[in-house]
Amino acid sequence: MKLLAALHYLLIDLLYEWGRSLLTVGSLALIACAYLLITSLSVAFQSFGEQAPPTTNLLLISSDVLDPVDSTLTLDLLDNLRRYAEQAYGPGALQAAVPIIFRHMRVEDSVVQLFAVPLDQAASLKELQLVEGRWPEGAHQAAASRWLAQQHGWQIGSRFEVYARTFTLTGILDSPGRKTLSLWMPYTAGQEMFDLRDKFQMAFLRMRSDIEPQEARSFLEQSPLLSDQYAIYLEEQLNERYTQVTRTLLALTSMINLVALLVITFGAYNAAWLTLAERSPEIALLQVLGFSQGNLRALLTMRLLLLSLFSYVAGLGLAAWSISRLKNASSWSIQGVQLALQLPLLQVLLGVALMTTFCLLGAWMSGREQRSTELAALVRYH
Amino acid sequence: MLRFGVQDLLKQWKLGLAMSLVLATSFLGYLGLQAYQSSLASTFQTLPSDYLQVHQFGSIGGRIPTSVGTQLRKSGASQAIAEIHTLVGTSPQDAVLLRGVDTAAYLQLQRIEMLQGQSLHPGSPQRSVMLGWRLAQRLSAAPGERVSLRGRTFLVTGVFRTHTFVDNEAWISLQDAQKLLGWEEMVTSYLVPDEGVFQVGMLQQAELPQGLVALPRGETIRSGFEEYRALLDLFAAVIQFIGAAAMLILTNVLLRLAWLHRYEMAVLRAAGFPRRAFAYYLASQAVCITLAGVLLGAIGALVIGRGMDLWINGYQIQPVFSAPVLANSLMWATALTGLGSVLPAIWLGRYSPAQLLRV
Repeated sequence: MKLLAALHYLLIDLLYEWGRSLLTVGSLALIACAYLLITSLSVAFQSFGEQAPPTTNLLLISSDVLDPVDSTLTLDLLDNLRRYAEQAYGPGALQAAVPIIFRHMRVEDSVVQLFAVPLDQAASLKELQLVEGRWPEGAHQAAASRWLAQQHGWQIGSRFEVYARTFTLTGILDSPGRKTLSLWMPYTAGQEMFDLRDKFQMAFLRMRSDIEPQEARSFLEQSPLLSDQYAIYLEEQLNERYTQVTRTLLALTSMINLVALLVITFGAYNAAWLTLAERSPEIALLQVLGFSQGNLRALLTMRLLLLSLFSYVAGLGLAAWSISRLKNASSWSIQGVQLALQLPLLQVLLGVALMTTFCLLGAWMSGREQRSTELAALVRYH
Repeated sequence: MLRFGVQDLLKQWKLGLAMSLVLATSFLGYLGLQAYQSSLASTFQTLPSDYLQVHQFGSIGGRIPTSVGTQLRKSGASQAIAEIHTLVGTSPQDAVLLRGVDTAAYLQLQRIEMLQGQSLHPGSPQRSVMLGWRLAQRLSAAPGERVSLRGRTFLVTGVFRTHTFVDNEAWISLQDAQKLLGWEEMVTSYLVPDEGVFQVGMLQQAELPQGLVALPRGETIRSGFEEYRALLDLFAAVIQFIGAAAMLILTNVLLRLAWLHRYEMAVLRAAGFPRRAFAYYLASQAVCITLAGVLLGAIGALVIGRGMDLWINGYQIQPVFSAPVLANSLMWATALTGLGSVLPAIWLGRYSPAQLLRV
């Protein structure tokens, strides 16, 4: 009952001073919105690094190459590697060796990952799932990842330009892990398009099930065939390299979040200080009537908590609206991997906790210096 | 009134300091972002554009056969200078931008200033490399020393500067680049003089392979950053939100501080001070708060900016605190201050002395 009475009193008080309350709520709401926007970007960067469940696949690529586009492998290398593996592990040691032509291409306004592979083999290795349509067969046919198709509003039969050629979408694919914007076409189509004969960029390797992938990797890397020109990775090791591009940007988002939280602290300090200064006669009167310092502090803290909660809800609404507008306005991707702006519930709740904590910190800092003020001085303040 | 405003503020110095810190953190964010954006703009806008770059349309990092050079010359180009552009390394942290250049012709494309050692020339020994000064600094390399590029040792012959993004690059001969990458007879692009033979856009000449495009030099690299532009725009919007919040907090503080002294104001008005006295009173406090905030924010930005280089795709983006950036940021802070003090001045100006005494 006391709590309800206090809440009732505080709400009336906030409404009575609606102008000042609006200024405080407005300023804190903008900060909350800024914080949540940056948080949504941080979440997007963190999920940028999400990968598919670990596989037993190995990936062969030129060594010291950051972008697979710059790698060069040959079919002869794959054949020789197969023979080398069979010498050590017996026939059928290398169950599959799938050549991949890889490019980063600009398609409409997105940078996409283009894979030209023998599709029947790649599907099993990459855990690609055809969710709609069929696998491409001809020279100007391609399948797209679900994220790419969604981003451009493509459906089966849609036409689009790639490398000055018109392609028809025959299928939509899904695979676990990162939300890649990718196009898949037959290997022969890639050879023709990029005028390649027996060269390609990467190869998926799958060892026989009784051969441990890490052990196979170490063994194959020692092969004189590879020397120091080529490298073999476990698939997730190579993916990990590409997530490092977002770490620089994550540092920037953390900095901006810190700025926002500091502004909340000092803003709350100002609001609390001013409230105490303006209400000093009322505070003195309540003390004379028997209210303890603890009760008064609790009342003022609840007032600030209410303001911060109202601000956070307003800021959350503004952030959600901003995110939906941003998603529609721009293509959010880096190197063909979609950046999905989102606000998970956990982050929203964490934001509430941080906002109230920093508001209370500001209020505590303000309350400390006024705690020792004498009763007479409070009345005399005006 | 100006002195009265400042004296009043000094009495509540902790409140003023807190408000200055609010403005300081907002100003720090704005100044920092402007410094990065300025660095990006100046780094990627200053490449000479008297050459067109011919490469695979829509491809980032693709390659074309050297026969395209012959075909370009047959189509009427007076020159077709081959180049290779690639990124070597095992992680974004140790990535090195590598350029393979035609040692007989590359100096025609761009003026470079040799800071140390010699430039590459047709007689340079194999596996010689020239380093842009930013890269040389990062690798702590000087002429006569050796650096590793894709597992191969190269001898540094010189360090150069161009005041463009190429200061992040390592330049080797085209032949060395082809051997290093295993590209045989492939290159990334050809540079042809912009002499009217080819127009910007898809190349339609029948003798050329399908899918080639001609773009102004540097356009490909600039467009490679387009996907980061949306991110920078988001950062900018967030900083503006924080700035607007700082303005509202300033409005709140000035308004309520002035209201606490409304009786004194009423007495001054009754003694003959005009309405605009309130504006002077508020302005003096706003200016003091802003000056302190801008100073603290600028110091913070300079200190933090030193250690916050961004590395994107091998390019170092250092914040540039130039005069235009500082001027732009100061104007932003002034606008916030002005807007933050206008509302309290208007609101207080509505009241007559009698009303102020009565409230």
